[in-house]
Amino acid sequence: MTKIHLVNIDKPGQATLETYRAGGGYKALEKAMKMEQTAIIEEVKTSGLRGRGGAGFPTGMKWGFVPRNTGKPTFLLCNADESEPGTFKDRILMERDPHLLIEGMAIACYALDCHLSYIYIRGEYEFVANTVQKALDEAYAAGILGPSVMGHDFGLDLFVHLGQGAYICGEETSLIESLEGYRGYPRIKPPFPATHGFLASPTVVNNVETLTALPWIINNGAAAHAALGTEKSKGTKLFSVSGHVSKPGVYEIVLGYPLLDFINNEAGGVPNGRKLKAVIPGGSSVPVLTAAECEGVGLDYESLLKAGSMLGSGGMIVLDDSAKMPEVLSVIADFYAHESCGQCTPCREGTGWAAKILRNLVAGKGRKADIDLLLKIADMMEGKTICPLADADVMPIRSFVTKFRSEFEALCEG
Amino acid sequence: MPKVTINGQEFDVAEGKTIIQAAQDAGIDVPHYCYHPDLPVDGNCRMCLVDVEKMPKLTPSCTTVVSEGMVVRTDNDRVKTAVRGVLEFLLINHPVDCPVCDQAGECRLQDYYMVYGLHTSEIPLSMKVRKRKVIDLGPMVVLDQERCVLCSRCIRFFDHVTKTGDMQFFGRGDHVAIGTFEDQPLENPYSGNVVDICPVGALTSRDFRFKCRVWFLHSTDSVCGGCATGCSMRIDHRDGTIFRLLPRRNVEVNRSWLCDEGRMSFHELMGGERVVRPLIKGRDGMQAPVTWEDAVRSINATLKEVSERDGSGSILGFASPSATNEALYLFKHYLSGRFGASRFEFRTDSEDKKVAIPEDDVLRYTDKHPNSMGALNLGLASEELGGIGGAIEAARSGRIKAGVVIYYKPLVPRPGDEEAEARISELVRSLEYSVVLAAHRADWQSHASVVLPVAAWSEEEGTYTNYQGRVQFAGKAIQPAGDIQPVWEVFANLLYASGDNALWLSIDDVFGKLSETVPGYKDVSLGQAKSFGALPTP
Amino acid sequence: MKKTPKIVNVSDRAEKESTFAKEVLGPLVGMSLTFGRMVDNLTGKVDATIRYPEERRAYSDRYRGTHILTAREDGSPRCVACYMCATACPADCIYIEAGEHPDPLIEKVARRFEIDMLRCVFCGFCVDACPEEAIIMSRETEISAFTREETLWNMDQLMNRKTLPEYGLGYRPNENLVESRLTFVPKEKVKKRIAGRITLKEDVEMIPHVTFDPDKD
Repeated sequence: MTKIHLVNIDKPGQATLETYRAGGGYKALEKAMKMEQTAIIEEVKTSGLRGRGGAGFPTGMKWGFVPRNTGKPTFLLCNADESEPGTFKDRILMERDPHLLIEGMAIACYALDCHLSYIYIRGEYEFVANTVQKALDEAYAAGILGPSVMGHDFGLDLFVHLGQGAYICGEETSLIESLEGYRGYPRIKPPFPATHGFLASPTVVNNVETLTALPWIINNGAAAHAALGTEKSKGTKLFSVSGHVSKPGVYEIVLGYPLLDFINNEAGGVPNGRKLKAVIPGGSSVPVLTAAECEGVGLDYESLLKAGSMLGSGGMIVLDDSAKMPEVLSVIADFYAHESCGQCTPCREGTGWAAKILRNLVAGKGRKADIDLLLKIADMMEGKTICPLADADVMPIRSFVTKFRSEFEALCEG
Repeated sequence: MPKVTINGQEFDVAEGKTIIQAAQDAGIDVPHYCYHPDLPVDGNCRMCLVDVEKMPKLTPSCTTVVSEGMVVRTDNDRVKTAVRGVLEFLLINHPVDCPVCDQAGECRLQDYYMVYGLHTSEIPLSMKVRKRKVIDLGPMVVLDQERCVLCSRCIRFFDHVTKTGDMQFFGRGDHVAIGTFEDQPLENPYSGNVVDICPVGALTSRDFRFKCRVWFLHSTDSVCGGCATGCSMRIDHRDGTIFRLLPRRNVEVNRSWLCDEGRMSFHELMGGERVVRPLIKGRDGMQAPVTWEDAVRSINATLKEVSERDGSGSILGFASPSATNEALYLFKHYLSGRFGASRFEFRTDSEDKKVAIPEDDVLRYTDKHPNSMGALNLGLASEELGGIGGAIEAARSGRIKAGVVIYYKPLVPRPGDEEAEARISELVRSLEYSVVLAAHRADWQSHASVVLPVAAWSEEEGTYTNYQGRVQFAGKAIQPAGDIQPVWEVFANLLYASGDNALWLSIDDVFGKLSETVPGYKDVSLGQAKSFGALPTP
Repeated sequence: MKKTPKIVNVSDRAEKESTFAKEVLGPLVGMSLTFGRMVDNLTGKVDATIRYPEERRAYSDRYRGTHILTAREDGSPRCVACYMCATACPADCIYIEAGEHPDPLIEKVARRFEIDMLRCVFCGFCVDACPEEAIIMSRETEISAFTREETLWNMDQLMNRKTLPEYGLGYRPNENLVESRLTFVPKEKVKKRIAGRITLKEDVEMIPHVTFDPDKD
């Protein structure tokens, strides 16, 4: 299968500039620097690359929204605040192949005419940040970054910023707030970051995986990228598989690959002769799919949406028939209650309340009415908040409770 | 101007207004906690969600600017369900300790619960999040974190109005609480405002704490007597006692704010001994109480005698910049009209200059008198005397024999007040014959020939002119005790007794005459002065 | 089509149903109670009057007499000075001053609580309004005094009721909350279940307590 991100991931010493260059690194940047800035944006548009952070918004279009010649600087922020439960793909990329990210960012910065860029890494990834910083130092020393990128008349400074351990800072506006030095609270949109982002200037926030796809697109051309995948989901996607599979880990597959084939062939299938019960295909915040619903579903944005779930960030959690769904949901709800920033009412109170009800249920102290109350809380939260964190809690609650209601009822007395 | 349809009715709305403002202008109430007209929009409470056509989700009306052809519904089932849901969320972790909460009666949680909620709580007590209660935040504020709805109004007030950033959120999720760093006291001169803007009982007043339940209070619209700014305010009182002063929104003067000194100024007023009976100094040099009739007769007779014996120039009128325009007008009208007096003064300090100097960049002005501008406009600053110093000299040298002095204790004390009072005392002692109109008793008043008990701020109606020249009306909140009379009434009685035929029956009569005669005041009406004040034409 | 109303002739029916037993014996049955009481009175089985004040009538358990302020376990007043009673009072006879309670969970406590017993109309609205079961009523009615000042009952008088055992508790809507520990054991056995002749001497706690179970309420 074609690989874009993980081509050299297992090569020893890939994190050093020397090895990276030996494997053809920074060729794409050199090529890009000779292109027109707008031509690169066009190239990305034709490639059909979509944001890999979860929302799947076309990257080229996002870049196209950034106004030019506003008199204000443009900023590119790399979102490496990977905190979604079940997702660990960016970590592998940054840990093993940091120069790929730097090259991707340099290309994006050049295309957006951005001279200052930050990599916002989650606080718990301190060791990753050290690796990236080391790579940055190498790149600076080699003249790849700095006042003249690769000897061209284009200055670029890249900085690593370490978060302080808040899931919400993976949301682009609260990432910007946090980077500005404020409490990591999401902002109300509009205005959108494309016009009023970091320091009230035009800002693009891209996921690590999105940026690391850029060198391949520049090297092989947009058409080659567009040829991969399905009609609307182009290219490849990293999946971090965890749970009840024989070979958990990060896999790169071309979009559209059948879900069940992926679990059985690539990830080694469900171990110990157990049966597949459910799959959370895109990180804890997407609706769960039962084994029956997984039949014939392809791993791409559209077919997962059709099946009632989402591709999300590609953090696939596989559950076999030994999994107790109320307990799984309780863990997920606890996560969102703990990570709710507390800015707006429905999310602040709703996530906490739902988590408490679920903890009560799992402890065997629940009532049947609590199950309906959970659904009511989900209704009360959904679509009424500033950022999508509450919706991310609503989707698992609603799908778990409706699809596995009998398991919840079995826990209740009356 | 965009045309907007709200609940089926079409309105023309000014460009740039948000939906909530447009709805409020149209008289449609949109429930809200975090929105405040004088603070930047935050949009965190989610109570003001409305249904806008062609928008998939409900929209917070405080953040959405109106656009042409927008169709808004604030009353359909979708909105009502959402609002009820948000309210239920706000109440799940609320302690519902209304019986001990000072906000009860003016609490947005109570109000909206009666309109939108009326639900039974579905959360058991053991599940509620407990936070800290009764946290002492300095001289003005008591914090209860449990009652807070986390609307961030207080935080935004300190961030954007005083720009001191005293408060912040702590923690996250449903454990978020507001507070100051390490419970440091709020020593900001405007900290009392957060009590007013807090829509619930999280921030309550230390001064008003447990004094009275709000539904027993009667309100009177007034203007602060603490400095030249003249902030619009509301006096909350019961049974002749003032319990608290609250700001009244006036975009032209104080927006929604009030300084702490102004807020506490009523303690200065309620404290101290009052003059309650007219006093006249007898032959033995001792002051003895007399009736108003006797006092009026004696004053008229003596002043007439002095003016006939020593000429009209020997009579001094020494006014107070804390008296109302009406009082000052009749004061001048009486002395100049009946006895031809021409020497008037009111400055114990440099009030005429201070009136233009702000103390800080929020509200306060250095001149701590509410009506210096009014006194200047009425021509009570004599160039010849140039202040109280000149008056004392003239009295010592015998050029001035008699004087009528109005004296008020300043409501907001400042260093230098004693000196100013000492100068007045000196003036009274230097005068051969002195009539002192005073609200509060002071030792030096024993030197006066006549002492008249007069009403103080909040005990009389009248207008004050602030530093901008804005004429604002202050109402009468409480009935003064004893024989106390408002200053304008004292002079109305003196005028009547001395044979003046004009009838001065009410404040309207005096103000009508005042606006006719004082330059610039012609277009000012008492009605305007009562709402947001009126600026005289220059 | 218009329906013709059905006419019921009442006098016809009365005549039809009239019997000797109904016409003559009926009133006699009704009068039997009267005659029975007459006989009881004549034979001295029941007195028509009682010998007040040595004897008192047993008032209803919901009788609205003088007020009682209930206490917490530690003996401090339950009242949190919310002024609900004063607000509800139609006679304006309750005066309260609030103060700070050292426990932040209670926060507020009444420093002064006075009821002007001469103004009070004993309507019981204060008891209904109270959210804390801090004010209940007794069955005491005798509040006469030599001066008007004495009829102004302060907090101490309202809480420590020396005469309470004699009269018993009165109106208190949430009876199960008021842990009164009252045992109604009359001194003498009453002959008949009708009015009069009950002198109450009961085993009562001086200050009734109120206990809330937070999980139940």
